[in-house]
Amino acid sequence: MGTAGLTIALAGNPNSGKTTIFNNITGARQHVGNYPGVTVERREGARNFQGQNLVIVDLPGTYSLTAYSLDEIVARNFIVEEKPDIIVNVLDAGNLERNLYLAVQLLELERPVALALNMVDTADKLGFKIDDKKLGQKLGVPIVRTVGNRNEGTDALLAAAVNAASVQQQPIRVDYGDDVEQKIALLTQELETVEDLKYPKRWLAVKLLENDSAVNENVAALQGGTKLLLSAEQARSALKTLCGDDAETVIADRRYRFVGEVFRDAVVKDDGAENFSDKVDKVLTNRVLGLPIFLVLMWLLFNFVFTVGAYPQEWIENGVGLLGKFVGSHMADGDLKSLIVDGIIGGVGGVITFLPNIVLLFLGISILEDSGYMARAAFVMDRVMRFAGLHGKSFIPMLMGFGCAVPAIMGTRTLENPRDRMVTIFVIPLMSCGARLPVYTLLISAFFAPDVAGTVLFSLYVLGIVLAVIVAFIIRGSMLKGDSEPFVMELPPYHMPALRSVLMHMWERAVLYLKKAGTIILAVSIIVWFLTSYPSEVDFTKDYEGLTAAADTAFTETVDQKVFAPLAAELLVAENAEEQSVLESLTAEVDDVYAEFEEQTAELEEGSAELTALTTSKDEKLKQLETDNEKLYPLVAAFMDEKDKIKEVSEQIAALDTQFEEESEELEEGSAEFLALETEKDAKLTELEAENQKLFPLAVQYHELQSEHDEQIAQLEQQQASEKIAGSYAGRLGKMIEPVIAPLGFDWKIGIALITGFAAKEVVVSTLGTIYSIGEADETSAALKATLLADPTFSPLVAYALMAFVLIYVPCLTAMAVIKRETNSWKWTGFVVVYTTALAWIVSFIIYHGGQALGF
Amino acid sequence: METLVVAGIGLAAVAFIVYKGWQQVKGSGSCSCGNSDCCKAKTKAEDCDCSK
Repeated sequence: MGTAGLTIALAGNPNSGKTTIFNNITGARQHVGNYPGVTVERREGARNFQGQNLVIVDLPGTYSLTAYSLDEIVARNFIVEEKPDIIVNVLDAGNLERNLYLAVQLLELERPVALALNMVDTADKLGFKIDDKKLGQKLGVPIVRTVGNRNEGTDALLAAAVNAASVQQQPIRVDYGDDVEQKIALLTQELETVEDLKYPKRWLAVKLLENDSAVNENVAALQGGTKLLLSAEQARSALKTLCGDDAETVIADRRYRFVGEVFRDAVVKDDGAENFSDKVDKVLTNRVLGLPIFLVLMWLLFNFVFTVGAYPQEWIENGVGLLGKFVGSHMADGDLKSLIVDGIIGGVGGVITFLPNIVLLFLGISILEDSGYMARAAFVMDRVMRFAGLHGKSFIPMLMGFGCAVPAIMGTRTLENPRDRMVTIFVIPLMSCGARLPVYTLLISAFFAPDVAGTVLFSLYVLGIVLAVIVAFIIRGSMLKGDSEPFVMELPPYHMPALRSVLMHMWERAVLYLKKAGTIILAVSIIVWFLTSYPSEVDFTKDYEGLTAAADTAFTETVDQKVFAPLAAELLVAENAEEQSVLESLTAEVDDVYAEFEEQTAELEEGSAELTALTTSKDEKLKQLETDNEKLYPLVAAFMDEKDKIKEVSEQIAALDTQFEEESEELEEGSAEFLALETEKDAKLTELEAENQKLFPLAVQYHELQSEHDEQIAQLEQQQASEKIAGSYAGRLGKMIEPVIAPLGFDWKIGIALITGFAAKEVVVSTLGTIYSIGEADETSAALKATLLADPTFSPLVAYALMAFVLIYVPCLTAMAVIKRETNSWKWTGFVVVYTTALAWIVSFIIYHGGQALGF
Repeated sequence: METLVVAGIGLAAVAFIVYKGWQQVKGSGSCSCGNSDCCKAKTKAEDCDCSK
C-alpha cells in the first residue's frame, strides 16, 4: 500500500537530461532535445515506487540558484520556496565541473539531495574517469550512475532518492575562506534572533552577501529585516575593500575553487584522445563551411520529406478518394450527402493526405535535435543573427518554430534580455511550422516538377529565415533598440538519437495532427461547406436547364441525320411506298419504346424490381409491335441492332481514348513511352475497325458527336456550379475581399481559404478541398491537386506567391494566444497580426509581379 | 429530417469553433504544460495551476 507522497524535484543544468529521466521515471512523454532550454515550465508526474507514492517534478534547467531568466526563476522558486522532500540533481557527467557548481548550491540548502551522474557513457567517450564513490564521499550525498536515453540506473536513482529522504545527510560545507566566513558568521549570528525563518541560516547569510534580490525582498519583510539588510550591505562593502572585488564575484570564485578541488579529486581526464564531438565540430561549426552545411542539411531534409512522403501520400489520397466514392454511391443525393462527401471527406480528407509528410518532417527534426546538431545550427547562425541585433541563442527557439510556433514562443523564456525575447517572439511566426507543410506539399506537387519539389520547399523555409533576420534587424534598430547580450552557449556532445525518443516524437505529432483534423479542421470544413452551399437558390444568369435540353435535342437530331439516316437508308427499305410509310412509322414507334425505357430506367439500379418490371413492359410492347407487323418488324429490329452496335463500338473507342489519356498523363509528348502507348492504341483501333468494318466509320462519327455533346453539357454544368458557388455566402464574402488580394494573383476562393486558415494553417487545404468539391460539377471529381491544376487562376507563380503568403501571414489562433500570454500585451499581439499580414502581402506582390516581369 | 441533421451538424461545428476560440482567447485549457486539466473552470491562463 502506498504511503503519503514524497515530492522529488529534478534539478540540474540545462541539457543535462532531466526530462529524459523524468520520462523514464513517470512514463510520461515530455519532449526532450539535445539542446538547452527545452523545458521552460515545471512539469509533474507520479510514480509508485516500492509502495511509496512519489510526485516527480521536472524543473527547467538552471546553472545556479541565482536565477536570471524566466525559466531559471521557475526552477529556483520551486526548490527554495516550495521545498520538495528530495532534490535529485541531474549532472551531465561530460560537463561535471560546471554541473557541480549548482550541486554545491543545492547542498547548501540543507535539503535531502541525491545526485544522478547522467550520460556517463558520453563522459567515458570524452575520456573522463569518474570515481563516483569518492565524489559521493566528498559531497556527503548518494550518487547513482545513469544513462537517461537508455533508461539505465533509473530505479537505483529512485531508491537512493527515497532513502535520502529518510536518513540524515551530512552534506559538505564550502569553505569560502576566512574573510568571507567571518562575514557569514556575523550575519548567521544576527539571523539567530529572527524567528520563523524559512531557509537555513548559513545559506541565507551567503545569499545576503551575494546581494540576491529575491532573498533581500524576503528578508526585508521580516521583523528586523531592515537591520539585517543594513548589516549585509556593510559586510559586502567590507569584503569589497578587503578582496578588491564585489562579494558576489568573490563568493562565486571561492565556490568554483571548491568545486574544482572536488572535481580534481574524483575525476581523471584522459587528454590524449580528441573526442568525437570535437572532431565533428571542426567541420560542422567551421567559419566557412558551417553555414553551407546547415543549408545543405536542411535541403536534404526537405527533399527527404517530399520524395519519401510522396508514396504513402498517394496511398492515403487513393484511400480518401475511394471512401468518397463509396459514401457517395451509397447515399441518396441531397444536402447530407454533399456535406459528408464534399464538406467532410473533401475537406478533412485533403488534410489527412499529408500525414506522412508531417511525420517525416518531425523524424528529421527529432534526429537533428537529439543528435545535438540544432545547438550547432544556432552557433553557426550566430553571425547572421548578430546582423539582426540578436544572437545565436535566439535561433534555438526559432529552430523549434519549424515544428510548432507555440513551444517555440515559450522557448524564448531562456533569453535573459527582454528585448531579445520580444524580438524573437515577433519573428518566430515567420519560421515555417509543420502546419504549413500540407499547404506547400499540395501546391508544390500540383505545380512543380518532382525533381525541383524539395528545392522549392527548402526555398520557402529559407525565405522564412531570411525574412525573420530582416524583420528582427528592423525592429531591433527601431522599436526595441538596445545592446545585445554576449552569446555564451554550451555545445552538447553529439550522440546517437534514441530510437524510442524519435519514434515517440513522430507518434505524438501524428496523433496531434489527426486530432487537429478531427476537431478544428473538421468543424471549419463543415462551416465552409455551409458557407459555400447556401443560399441554395441562386439567380442564374442563364437558363441552364433550357440550354441543356436544347443541347440534348440538337445532339439527337445531328446523330439521326449524320449517323443513323445513312444506316436507315440502307436497312429500312420496303417493297413499295405504302409499306415504306408503315416501316417508317414502325421505326418511330420502336424508337419511342426504347427512348421511353431509357428515360425511365436511367437512374435505376441493375437488378432492381422496378427495372425488371420496366424491361418486361418494354419487351411486351415490342412483342406486340412485332406481332402487328410480322413482315416489316425484322427490318426495324436489324436497324435497331446496328444502332446499338454503333453505340457499342463508339463506347469502345471512348474507352481506348480514356485509357490512353490516363496512361500518358505524366509522359512527355513525343517520348518513347508516349509513342509506344500511341502505337498500342492505334493497333487496338485498327483491330476494332477490322471487326466492325461496315459500322466503324459511323461509330467514329457517333463518338465524335457524343464527345462534343458531353463537353458542351459539362461546360454548362461547370458554369452553373461556378455561378452557384459564387452566389453562396462564401462566394459573396470572397468577392468582397478579392480586390485586396487580386494584385497577388489570388481569386476569391483563395481568399476564403486564407481567412479560414487563421484557425489553423492546415485549414487552407481543407477549405480549398471543400470549395473545389462543391464547385466541381462532376461528382467523381479528381484529387484536389488535379482540380487546382485545371483552375486557370493557378499557375506555378501564383502557387509560389500563395505559399509565401501562407508562410508569412498572421499566425494561427493558438500561436496568437501564446504571443498574448508571453508578451502580456494586446498591443504587441496586434502588432504581430498587422505586420505579418502586411509583410505577406508585400512579399507575395513582389513574387507575383517580379515573376511575371521575368516571364514566369 | 435530413435538413434537421444537416443543421444540427452545422450548429455543432459553429459551437465547437466558438468554444475553442473562447478557450484560446481566455487562456482556459491552454496552460503552458499542455494539460487541459490544470485549467478547468479557469478563465485566464495565469490562473492555471500546472502543479495539479
